[in-house]
Parts: sequence; structure tokens; C-alpha cells
Amino acid sequence: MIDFGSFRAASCSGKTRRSFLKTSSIVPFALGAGLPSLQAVEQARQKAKAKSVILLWLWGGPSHIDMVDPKPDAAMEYRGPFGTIATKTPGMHYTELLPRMAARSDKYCVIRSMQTTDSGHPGAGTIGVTGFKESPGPVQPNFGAIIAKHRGQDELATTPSSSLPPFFYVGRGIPRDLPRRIEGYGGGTLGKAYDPFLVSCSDRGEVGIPTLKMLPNMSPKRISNRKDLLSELDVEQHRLEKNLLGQWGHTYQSAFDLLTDAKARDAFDLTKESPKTRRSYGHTTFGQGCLLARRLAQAGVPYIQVNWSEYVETFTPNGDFGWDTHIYNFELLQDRHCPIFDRAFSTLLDDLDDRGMLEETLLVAMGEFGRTPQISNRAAREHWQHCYFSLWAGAGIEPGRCIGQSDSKGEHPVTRPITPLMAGTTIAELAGVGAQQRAEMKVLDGGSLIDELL
Amino acid sequence: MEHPGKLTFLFLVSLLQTHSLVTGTTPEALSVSPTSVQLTGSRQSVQLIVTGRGVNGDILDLTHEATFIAAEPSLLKITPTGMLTPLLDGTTSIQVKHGQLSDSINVEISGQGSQESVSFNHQVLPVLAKAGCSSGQCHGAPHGKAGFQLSLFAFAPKADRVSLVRQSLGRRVNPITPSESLLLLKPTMKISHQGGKRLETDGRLYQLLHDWMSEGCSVASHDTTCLGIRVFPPEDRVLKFPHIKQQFRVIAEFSDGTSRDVSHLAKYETSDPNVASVTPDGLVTGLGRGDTAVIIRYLSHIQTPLLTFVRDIPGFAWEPPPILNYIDENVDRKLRQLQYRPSELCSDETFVRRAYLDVIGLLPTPAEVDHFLESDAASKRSELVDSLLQRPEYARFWAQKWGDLLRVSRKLIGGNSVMKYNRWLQNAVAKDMPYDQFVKALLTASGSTLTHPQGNYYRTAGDTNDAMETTSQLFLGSRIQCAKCHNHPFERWTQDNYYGLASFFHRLQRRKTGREEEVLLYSTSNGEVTHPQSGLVMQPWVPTDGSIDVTEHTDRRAAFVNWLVTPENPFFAKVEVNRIWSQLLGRGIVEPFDDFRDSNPPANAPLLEALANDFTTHQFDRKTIIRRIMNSRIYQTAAKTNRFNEDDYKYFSHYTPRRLSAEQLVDALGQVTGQPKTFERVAHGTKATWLPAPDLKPHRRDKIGDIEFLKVFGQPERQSACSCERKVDTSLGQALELLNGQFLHDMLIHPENRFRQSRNAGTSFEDIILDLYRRALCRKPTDQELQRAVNYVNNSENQEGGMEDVTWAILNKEEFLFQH
Repeated sequence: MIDFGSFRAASCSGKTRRSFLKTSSIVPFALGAGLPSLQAVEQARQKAKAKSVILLWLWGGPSHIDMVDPKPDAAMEYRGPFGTIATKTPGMHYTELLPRMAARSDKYCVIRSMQTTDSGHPGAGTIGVTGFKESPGPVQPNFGAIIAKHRGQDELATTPSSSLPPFFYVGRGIPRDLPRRIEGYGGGTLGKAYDPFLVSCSDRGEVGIPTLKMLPNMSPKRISNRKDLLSELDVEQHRLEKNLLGQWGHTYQSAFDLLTDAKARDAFDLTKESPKTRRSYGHTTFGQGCLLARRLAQAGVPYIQVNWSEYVETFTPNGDFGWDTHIYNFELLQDRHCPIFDRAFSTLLDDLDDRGMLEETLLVAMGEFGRTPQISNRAAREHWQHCYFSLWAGAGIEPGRCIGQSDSKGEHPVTRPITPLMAGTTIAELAGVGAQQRAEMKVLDGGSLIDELL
Repeated sequence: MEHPGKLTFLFLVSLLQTHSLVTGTTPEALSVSPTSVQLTGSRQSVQLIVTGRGVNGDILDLTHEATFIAAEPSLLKITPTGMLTPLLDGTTSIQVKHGQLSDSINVEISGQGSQESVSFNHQVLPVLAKAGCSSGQCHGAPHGKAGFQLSLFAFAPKADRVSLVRQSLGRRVNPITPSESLLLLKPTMKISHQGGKRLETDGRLYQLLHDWMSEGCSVASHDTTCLGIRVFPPEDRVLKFPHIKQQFRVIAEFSDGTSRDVSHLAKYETSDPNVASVTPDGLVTGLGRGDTAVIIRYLSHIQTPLLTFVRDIPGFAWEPPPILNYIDENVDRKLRQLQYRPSELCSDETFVRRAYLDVIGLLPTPAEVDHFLESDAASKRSELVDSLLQRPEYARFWAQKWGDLLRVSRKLIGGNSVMKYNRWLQNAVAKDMPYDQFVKALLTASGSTLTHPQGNYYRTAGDTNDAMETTSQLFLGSRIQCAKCHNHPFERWTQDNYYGLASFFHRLQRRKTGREEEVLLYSTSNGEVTHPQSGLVMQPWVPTDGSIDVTEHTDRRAAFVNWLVTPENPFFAKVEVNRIWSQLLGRGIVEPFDDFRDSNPPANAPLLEALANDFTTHQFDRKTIIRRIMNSRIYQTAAKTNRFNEDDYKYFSHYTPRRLSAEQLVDALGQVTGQPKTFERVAHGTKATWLPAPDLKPHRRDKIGDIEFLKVFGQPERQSACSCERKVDTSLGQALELLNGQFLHDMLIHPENRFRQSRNAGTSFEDIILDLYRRALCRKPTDQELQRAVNYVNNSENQEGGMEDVTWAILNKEEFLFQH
């Protein structure tokens, strides 16, 4: 195998994964050195604990106090109307809205001491998925873009999923509030080349992929005709040697297949799942989106962000029931949001576990902030950046723990606050982007790991 | 990926080849190093190296083939690999035999009566480095691993001792029963260890850790320091298959005047794992043809001897190709040594396309193609290069390359400054400002950035450390950032050097004046950089001369630049010629082109040297170098390989195609379809390859997340000085854009695009297709191609649609998308 236009960069510890791979691919000259290098490849493969990351992005700000951090002993204007239930984790209670998740709390960890620094949706949203404020900028890359870039530099890691992009958004679109989309949605300083690939999914599991949508006057048939013409015009005399063009031929064919060949879109096809499985995730856009995320992870996609909604708002025009429950907080959580989330999260966790994928998949769920512990005069809750929660499972994280603690009213962490930057650094670390690679890519600067979790 | 069948086949072929060559050179003389051995302590050892010489001067390492016979076998132990360890005091000799040849050395052993104590600094820490414990991915990571932290490759011994002996309630060591300590249980996998097995219980490294603990985990109070290492063989060697092994010996020299063999404690790596591998004991084995540096490290000391592996390729014969200038001579010497046969010269059609894209970033017009193809002047290629270098587009295109490196962007310096800075860069390129003056102007810029736009250099590099890091990356080709926090892991850079260099830039003041985008740059005569650990004031320091004195009232930046641009500076000229080389050939002689270090040797050192000399003797004139390269046969070789060079990817035996850059592609698509893309906030008619910055158009929040063709194809955001930001690899998004993207689609369906205009003017489809081929590919279609394309259009229900399809197909050809 021949290496073009790429280079070998050493790392603090010596060889990179890439250079291991090169070693293994030179069998023609290998004089007895084949075996150790194969082991080296295997070691390199194992380095990333999370081959795939699934982030369930609970856009709008879910209420920590009404879900995983209830305060039954706080005054009435704080604790809200919900009762609490015990979880599988000794001493930890949830509200009664999340019975399935409570029954599985031994399979994941809860962090109750998250804290961010912006109280508006787009601002906190950017911090939530990049670790940094959007202004003065430059806007930093989404965690997914970092992992996409890192994997893109690594031939091996892209092999299983080479026909699919490395970074997906599942949901209606780029998260936004009424005025605008969030700045930190994509590549940021790494460039738009690392923007996410959008896939939408309806409550019936119909998948829409904007990039694969045919332009006016175009059809798969016409693209096929064009491709046939292209190969007809490919005369021997002027043909470039394929092996000098790197991955191009392969990439081009993959894109063509995605456009024209239904089989190549298998990973997106939820009808391949049994009706029972599809039902278990819930026939909601989020539920079916979680199922799609699992299929993508199975196909080797390194980073999938499932967006709960496109808009934060619940009822405003265009709104698609985000978690921004300034009115009807309790009603919505009880009747809609929590049942959907409880079911989808639990089923995804079980499904990953049953398939043996959990060890190599990191599942994270979080929003951009929490909601005011003190109930508002509209009988709901407002934005609260000082304290919120996140959920972590898989990728070797020891499950069944509650990390961090908030005060008696759920207003502030009483343990070390955990920031989105720390969450992103931990995600990157588990996905194989070590401290040195982060420094070289100039991303997640100053981010430390959530030691409590690891 | 290779086809598995092909792999097996190649493997068999290579086995056969090896067999037919197994005889190789017979040595005529033999020598042993060292010529005599004194061992004065119980923990010392010596790695012997046995070298044979063939009739024709070939050198072969016989260490692992020779036999060693001690006159007094009871005094010492010697392994078949030449590692000698003492047992009892006395004097003896060792006879070294290989076939009929032999040599002998004397050995004096003393000090075996008492056990020598283990040195923490010189033995324990090197063991931890060699076993990988203190590497960046394990406990040497910034926060350690699993709660245990060591300094990266032992650069902070005091902190390491604390972590080992004091932390974790002292559980890591166990002086009473060392074998029960975590320090030995973990790396031997007696208890679970995420880092896997790192030590063998019966090995010497294990024993050293064990004995250090049983001696009470002591650290000698006045330990000597290690001054440096020497390696044997010290010279660069050429090894010829089948004699592809080379054993190394490493000697450390200490401040008390002693030296000792640390071969068993040093860490070994090769820079090119395709060429050779190395065992933990320092035995290098060749795998393929080519050069590799062997990176040998002991504590913070590094040596990087170079090994070249050559082999006889059956059927290969050197047929001298034409030599156009010294570049060809240098490349050919290497190719001949490694037995790669260079490809043929490329055709005129290929050359004209290549030259236009490289010099002015655009495709030639049909008239320009015809003009060149029809000329039969012998010197027409070099004349074309000369004329292209005079075009204004040359300055615009090459100024953009500088813009990438200098991070010219609206985000960092504002829209007006982008325009001014870009104009300054374009002028500098257009007026052939010599490179040394160019760099001097940037680095010593003072005054208002509005009147001196080059001063924006210090706005993009907005503080002392950034200015120093950017400067060393751009002009010394060195990524010194690592040394900010710790000694550089694979270079000689230390943390002291980092702050010594930084002190040149520390007195520069950047004062905002209140006028929009204006910063006033001036130097003060005080302000010092202090070392973050020791707190000492760091003297200005440069790599070749060490600390230098700068008088109180000179601008330190000027002192730095004076050192930087001297022709004797080993980095300055090489970095720039290498950058130009990689811009023209797609791959640097040193690759990545801004990563110069001993552990990353150039693919052809004499070539780099010759180019740098040419550059300095021609007053740092960049056009001289561009001309020299483009007039060489090497630049003009075809991409088509032969069976003797198809696996060469770094010695320039053939041209390597590369995808058009994002900007080149946008311009080329516009040129071919007659629908050039227009850009906001720049003069009408500005090409993508002239854009002053990637972010000139206003940021619209409603457009966040929209697909942009330029960005998809890797237009850099210009947020770092690293060349790696320009994304050259291929992605699915790019393929989708070409197959089904709005950008190209709009050009094809435009009612006034080129083919529709020609059609309206009554041109036949055949002529339209002929024109299309010339514009896109700079050649005529073959009869077959023309026939097929015309038929396709004629057989289409909708002929305009058919013509769209034909245009699409040509624009999706690899021959169009790649420069070849």
C-alpha cells in the first residue's frame, strides 16, 4: 500500500496509529516483521475506548429538579408537584417521571453538578457542544467535528464507515431558537469541511437526508446516466493511475451509491428493524432518531448528535416542542417530554447493551442548562445555568454512580462544578483524541477531564 | 487497500528475490568496537558492535552473526547479540570470529566485590521512559493516567520521585518486598494494568526497579548530570539487502567526567516504519528501500543517525535520463542508489495545464493552449514559465498562499486590514521582494498597522508566545509549541530554549489607538521573560549561537532577524525552498514541509542543500527557485509510473497528482462553464484564487450551517499558522457536491452558460465538445471520446440536457479534478 500526500507525525509517545498501520501494510518487503506490526494495529484499534459517540442533545434546557435531581425536602415553591422514586443506585432518587431510567440507573452515571456560563439558548448551546463561548470568537469546533477530524486522519478508523460521513446530526435541523441557529453547530475553527451531515427522521421512522435530495430536473436515473457517460469517456490513454489518487475513487463511488443505490442507505433504513424494536423506542421523532443513531453507530460512524428538537420553543410558530418550558413546565414534562425521553433513553441503553455495543459506544445526554429551582409566577421554570445534569454510559465508564451534588434547593453545585468544556474534553479523550492530539489540533484548550467519571 | 491476492503474490516475489540475493557481500575485514573495555561497577555492561567491510567498501554489521569467545569465561557473560556483562574482577580478552575473520579486544573488570547502587536519575527514570510509562499516552500525559502522573520522558525528576515514593500513601513502592510493589505488579500484569504488560520479571529493567526499591528508593544527593550521548556507529550508513541489520550502542557522558554504556536503557525508534523497524535492544532491521533516521533517546538527549537501505531489484538497469539542471542530478543520484526508474517526461498538454495551475492558479484559455502546443521552440517550456511569472495573477495567487500562512482573516484583524495586508503581500510578491527583506519587514514592523500593514503580523500573532511560535514555525520550520510546557519529546528543544526565543518578542508593545483596526507597534527597553518553573530571567537565545547579548536600546526583534536571515543560518533558506518545492510538487523534500527536525530527515538532503545554496546566492529571489524547479526534469515528469517506481511516494521519481485546491476548482469550473462565481466585498471579477481572506463576506446568522462549496473543498479558516489547515484530503461531502450539488448544477443549467451561448451562435455540438476538452483538460478529445460524447448528446431526448450531462461528465473526470 502506498501513502500519498500524507505524513507521519510523531506523538509524545512515539508512533501514531497511522504509522502503525503503514508498518502492517508493507508485507512485500517484510522480512519476518509481520506479526508484531499486526499486534500493533490491534493495540492502536483498542486505544479509542469509544468507537462511536452518541450525544442526545436535550435542546431547550430540561429541568434537572423535575427529572434526575429532585428536592423533595425543599419548600413547595421549589420542589414542584412530582413524587420521587428510588433508583437502582442506593440513595439516589429520581422524580416519578422517569421510571424506566430509574430501573436502569446501574447502567449509567448521572452528573448533578453541571454548570455553564450563559443563560441564553444559542450562547449556552454553543458552549454546550463546543465548550467555549461564541463571542468574541472565533467559534470553536463542535465536539463531533473534533472527533471527525481526528478519525479522518486515521485510515483504519474510517474503514468500516468510509462510505458514511464521520459526523451526523439526527433531527430536524441545526439547533436554533426563533431568531437564529447556534454558532457552534459544526466545524468552527476546523472549517466547514467538518460540519455535520444532516439526517432527519419522522415519528414514523421516515428518514430524510437533505444532501441526498435530488435537485430539480435530476433523478437517480439521470445521475446514473451521467456516471455511465463518465466511464465511457474514461479512455485508457488519459486515465490517471487510481493508486495515485488516494481515496478519491472510493469516496466518489460511495457518494454515488448513497445517491442512487438504496442498499447503500441501509444504515438509514429503519424498516430493517423489527416492528417490535421500532415500537420499543417509541414512535416519536426523538425515539426513532435514537434508533437511527444506534444504526449509524453500528455502521461505524464516529459521532452522532441526536437533537431533541430543532427549536427550543414549545409552542411558538415552527416550534417542535423543545425543552424550553417557560409555560406548562409540569404539564409538558409529565405528559410529553419525560415519557418520550424515559422510553427512548432506556431502550437505546438496553439495545446498545444487548448488542454488545455499549463497551465501545459512549452515550451522553445533556442540554445547554437547567431550569430555575424556584417556580415562576407562570407556574413553570425559567433558564438556570448554575446547575444542571448530564448522563453518561458506555465506553468503559463504571456505571451506577451519581457524580456531583447540588445544594438543598438544586440551585448550585456543592461539589466541584462540571463544565461543558470538561464534558467535551472527556468525550474527546474517550474517543481517542488524547491530550497531545488536542493540543496539536488546537482544540479544547484548557479543558480537563471529569476525573470523577473516569 | 491492496488486493489480498496481489499482496500474497508480491510477498512471494519478494521472498524469491531475497533468496536469489541471499549470498550478498562477503566481508574482507572485521573490526570490533570498542577496541578495549573497562567495567568498573557491578551494574555496567557493554554492547559490542562487530563491523565487516567488503571488497568494494560495503559496510555490514556482523554483531549478531559473529561468535564471541572469552579467554576467561568465568569473568563475564556475553550474549550472542554482543551484550557483555561482568561477573568477577580480572582481566581477559575476547575473541570475535566471523567465518575466517577474527579480531580480539581486552576486557578489564573491577569493582565486582560490592553491589553498585541504582541511580534514580540515570537508571530508574530511563527504565520508566523505555518501558513507555512516562510517555504522553500513559502516565506522562498532562494529568497522568489512573491517578499516577510522571513527567513526560522524565524531564522533572523531583516531581517523579514524589509521585513514585510519596503519593498514593506510598503504595507504589515497597522497599521490604519490592516484587509486591505496584511499581512492579502493574507493569508485569500481576494485577490488572490498563497499559498492558510493560516489563518481564526476568529482565534487566525489572531488576533495576526492584533493586532501587530494595536499596531504599534513594536518590543520590549530589547526583551527577548527564551531559550528552554518543552512539555507535556514529556515521550515517548505507546498508544493502540482504545485510539489513544494524546494532547500535549508546554511551552517556556525565558531568563528573565518566561515561558509561546505556544501550540497554536507551529508547529506539525509526522515523520511517516503512523502511526499518527497531527492537528495544537497539537492533534495526530494514524492511524496504529508503532512508530512515534512528531516533535514540536517553533522558532528554537525542541522537538521530541516518540509515539508508538499498537492494538490487532484478531487471533494474540505470538508463541515464536527460539532465536539465542540478535538481535532476541530485534526485537521480538518490533514485539510482535506491533503484527507482524515473518516469518519462510529461506531454506538452500536461505541462501547460500543470504550469498554469501552479504559477497563476488558473487554467489556460484555449488560445493559450493552442499557442503553446503549436510552438516548436525547444525552449518553449521555460519560456512559458518565464511569461507566467510576469503575470499579475501570479502575485495574486501566491499572495493567497502567504495569506494562509499569515492567518489573514477578518475575524483576526478586521476587513479593512485584510485588504491592506493582502495588498502589501501582493505588492511584495509582484515586485519580487527578496525573501530576507520580506521576512525582515514582517518581523520588525513598527508603527501604525494602518500605514504599515505588515504589522498585522503581530495582530494575528497577538502575544509573545504566539509571535515566537508562529515565527519559528514559519521561518525555522519548527513546531516548538511542545516545549512551552515540557522539553520537546523528539527534538533538541528544551523549555529553556522556548522562553529564550520568546524573549526576542517580549518587549514589543501593541497599543490600540482608538481608530478602528489600528494598533501601534513599538518596542520598549524593558520587560523580561521568566521561566515558568525556575522563575529565572531568560536571556535571548538562538538555536545555532546559544544565548546572545543584545544591547539595552536595540529592538530585540532586529537582533533576531539579523541572525535569522544570515546565509549561514541552517534553517532559514531551507525552510523556504522546501515550502516552494512542496507548493509545486505537492510534497516537501521535508514532509510535512514546516516540520524540520533531526528525527524527520529530508527525502533528499543534498537536493535541499543545493536549492538553499541557490536561493542564498541569488539574494533570496523566490522566482529563481520557482524557475529552477519548474525547469527541472523532475517537475516535468509524467504521473505515469513504471514497474520500477510504482511504489515510490517520496523520492520524486514520478509526478504525484493532487486534487485542485478549493479556490482553483471554483475558478476552473467558472472558466469552463463561463459562469464565474462572484464574491461579496471584493472587486467585480475577483477570482477565488485571489480572495484576500476566507471570511470577507458578512456573517449572516440565518445562513449559519449552509453548505459552501469552497469550504467543503477545504478552504482554510486561517486560524492557525499550520499548513495542515488547508485540507487536501477527499471527503464524501466533496463527492456529493460534484455529483448532486447546487453549485455545479447552477452553472450547468444557467441559460447563458458557455455551451448555450455557443449553441445560440450556431456552433455544432462537436465543436462545443472540442472546445470543452481544451478548456477543461487542455487537450483534444480522442476520436473515441468525441464520438461517444456527440452520440450521447444526439441520442438524448433533450439535447441541451444531454449537453449538460456531457459537461458534467468532463467536470467529474479525475483528469479535470486533479492536477497531474
